[in-house]
Amino acid sequence: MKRFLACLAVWLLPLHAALAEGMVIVAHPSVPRMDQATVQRVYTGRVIEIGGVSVVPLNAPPGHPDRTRFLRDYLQQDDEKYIGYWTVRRYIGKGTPPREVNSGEMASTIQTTPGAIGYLPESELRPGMNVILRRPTEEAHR
Amino acid sequence: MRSFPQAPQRRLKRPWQRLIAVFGAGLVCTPVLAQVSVSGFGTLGYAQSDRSFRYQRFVDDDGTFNRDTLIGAQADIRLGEQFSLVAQAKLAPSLKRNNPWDTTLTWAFLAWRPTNDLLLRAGRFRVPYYLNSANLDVGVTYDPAQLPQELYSISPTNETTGISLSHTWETAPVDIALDAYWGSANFFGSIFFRDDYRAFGGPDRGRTFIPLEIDSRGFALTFTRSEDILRLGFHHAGVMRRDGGEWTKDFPLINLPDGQSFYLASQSPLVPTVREIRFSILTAGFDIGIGRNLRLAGEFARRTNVNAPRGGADTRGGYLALRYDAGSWHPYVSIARLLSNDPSLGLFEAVNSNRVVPSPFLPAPASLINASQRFAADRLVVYDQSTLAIGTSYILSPTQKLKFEWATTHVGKVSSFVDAPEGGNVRDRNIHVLSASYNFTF
Repeated sequence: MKRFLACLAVWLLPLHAALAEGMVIVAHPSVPRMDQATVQRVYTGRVIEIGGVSVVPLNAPPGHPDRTRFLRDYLQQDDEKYIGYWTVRRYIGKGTPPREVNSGEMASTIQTTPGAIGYLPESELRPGMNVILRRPTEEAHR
Repeated sequence: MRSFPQAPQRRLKRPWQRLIAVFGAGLVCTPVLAQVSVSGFGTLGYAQSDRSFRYQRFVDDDGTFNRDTLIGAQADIRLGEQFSLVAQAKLAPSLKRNNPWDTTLTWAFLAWRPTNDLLLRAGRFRVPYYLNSANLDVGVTYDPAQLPQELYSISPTNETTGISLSHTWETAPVDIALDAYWGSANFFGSIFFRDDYRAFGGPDRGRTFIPLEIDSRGFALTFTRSEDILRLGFHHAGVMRRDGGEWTKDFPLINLPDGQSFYLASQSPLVPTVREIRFSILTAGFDIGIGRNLRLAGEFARRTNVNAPRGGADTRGGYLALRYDAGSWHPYVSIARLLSNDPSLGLFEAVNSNRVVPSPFLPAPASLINASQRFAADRLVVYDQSTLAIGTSYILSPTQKLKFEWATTHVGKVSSFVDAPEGGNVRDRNIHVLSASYNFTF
């Protein structure tokens, strides 16, 4: 029994680490640093350019854990509310939701698309990436 | 030397038409890389009342899918960094003839957003009369099974073709947005005639559709704080008939030597008319959270018929709604009221009830004169009604919603939403309506 619990713990630890891991806002080198309020405005379509640079927000597909954590940590929303927000915004003629990319393509799309903004788990950061905002997770505060 | 006839030049009469031309020319000169996003929306809605006469054109005790059902599609085409094209069309029961369904282009505009806080649009778009003006065809985006018609009927059309300018000021914690527009639109208005008036050259019983043109301009000021909204608007509209006809301003009262009188309703130099009816419309609305998962919303509109106040369509209307967020369920209760002003409602009452008896002083048989009185009354667009609605929406997913509603409408003196039975009137009556709908986007 003790061996089973130890194995279970070994399996669950990385999952817990992934859930607790913070998301980092990463952007194309052309995009300047920004605060959380600006990130919120970018992902809700209210800001389309920063310092003369047209921004291209990227999102993981609905339901993806990275997207769920990003929305929770940076926009204080859940996915349903966020989709609902964009449904209204689309049908009042104020634009379309951020472009969706698979999480495996997020880093490469950010690097190759001028103005692109996205998010990555801290562990997936690569040297030279333009980190524009890092928000401590609630776990880090504890 | 022979001269060749030149092709007639189409002149852009209105300033906003010239602006659209300049706007379009600017786009042509812009290198574009289009990104297309297509989406759709729809409602499958059923409504049934407890009355044999029809309410809101379609609803009676046989039930109907025609009041609420529609399907639409929208294309958002991004043309470079600052320009985009948006087109939206819907298939719904026709607004220009009886029975068949029609496809309507609700939006088709070019948008230019040069900065975060400035948006210019040229083309066909929705006029910002109400809180839900832009999205009123997309049932998923609001909770009521039907937006209160006491308010959402201010204008017979909500689209216009012209230009609009939106400017936003982000003054945390409140964002302020100004939407100003100027445009015109062709559309069809309709009047329901209770009786067969063909004996004196009038229409048959039923709904008659009239081709109209509306010129409109105005602005709306919106204050947004988180999810709370306050909006104020002022609009001016002029409505003209496209069939060459004019609007009747009033029905002169003809007094006869025998003490009888009747209202002159036929075409005559004695009947004052206007080429264009001018309206000014004042709107105010709010939607705020009041704690305990409750939201309170209300809208009010005063539509003033500026140059023909006795000619009808001079109203004040509004509603108050309380909604509760219980997770997937969003129950609500609302009360709404629509009332015509005294001159037009008074004229309706007088004309509708006026009867003459045979007399040598009458210029026509009494039966024809009496029919003409009802004909004149039908031509006045007047209202005196209120509605209590209780309902709920159920969120299946962010893109699917079920809605159920029970509403009771009390018709006071009259309501132009009611198709009165032949030879009769509908007054001091209640109409109970059950509605259910499935709303979706995809």
